[in-house]
Amino acid sequence: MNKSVLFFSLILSSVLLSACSSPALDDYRDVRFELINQNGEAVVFPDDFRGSPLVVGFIYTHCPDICSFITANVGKVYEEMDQPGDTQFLLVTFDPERDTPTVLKEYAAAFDMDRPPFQFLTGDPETIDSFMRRVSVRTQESYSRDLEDGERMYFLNHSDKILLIDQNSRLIFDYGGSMTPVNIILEDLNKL
Amino acid sequence: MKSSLSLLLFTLSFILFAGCQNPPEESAELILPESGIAIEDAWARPGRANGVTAVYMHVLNGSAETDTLVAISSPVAGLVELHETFDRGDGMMGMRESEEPFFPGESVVSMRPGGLHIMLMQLREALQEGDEVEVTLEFSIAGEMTLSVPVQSPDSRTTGVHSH
Ligand SMILES: [Cu+2]
Repeated sequence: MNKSVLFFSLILSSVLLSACSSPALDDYRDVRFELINQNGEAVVFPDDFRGSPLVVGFIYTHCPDICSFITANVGKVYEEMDQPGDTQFLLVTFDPERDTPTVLKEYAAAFDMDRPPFQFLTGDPETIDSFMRRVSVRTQESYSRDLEDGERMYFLNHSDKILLIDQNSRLIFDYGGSMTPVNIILEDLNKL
Repeated sequence: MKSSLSLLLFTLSFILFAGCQNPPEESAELILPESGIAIEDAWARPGRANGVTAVYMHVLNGSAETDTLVAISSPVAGLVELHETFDRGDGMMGMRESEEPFFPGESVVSMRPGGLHIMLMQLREALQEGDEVEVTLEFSIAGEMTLSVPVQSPDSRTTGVHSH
């Protein structure tokens, strides 16, 4: 009994701690990343989003299990917001070699998210690499398979993240992407 | 020291998986077959042509012995593997081929989002909600069985991914 109380308080306190971290964990006003969305349009992060709160998830499309949670979570935050206003929702791939705008467009469509205010972003590998470094998203090839057609199928271990960025391009919160309850993100958004 | 470590691990794993798993009651509704293997509630996520997708199901082994999944195939995929999603414990998540395709006797093993899944790779065609996918499982004891698996989006499922 005592133990389960202890378990519970531990759980609660870690949830609370993750929700109460101090504002502005980082500031992206000094960076500029030229990315491309699922429609092939150029997008500049963070300049193009200044003035809008941003919810940003990180994914790769060869990941049907955990990344589906991340993508769906970003979608749900929007669906469950009473007043989304001009909040923007981004999913950025860390696998630009395979995740071209066309691939991202099909992926977005499968989640019924190929529509505003969602954008799925990729870029050239160097840009994506420095972007991921800046937002502390780590990736590492986990294993690969040589295919009959000479191609190589590879998978990535990756950070599991959703970021909340405010109107002034400051990082406000950093969540576990696949497991954070949507209402926690909603509460934080409402405080902006 | 040991107990505080296990507390921490317990807490962490609870937090990590609380959002990803269906309530345990669900498995309680599953009734083991009198013998052999039965599959319940199989479904596949949508996927794009040349892409990948995951298939989930409950595997019910009603026999007394552990059975082993020795092969999986599907006409819609060039490559099929039994995968598990894992948490590296350092904020990174990954996926790997399961090294333990074992299904203990008189037990249910659930493949569900965030855990075990059948990974269909090199999809020959797009899979959309409403489609059916053929998947053939070969067990060492129970033999071969071919399933027709409906493609569903997690949101349209009543036993959804997020059951809060
Ligand atoms: Cu997989």
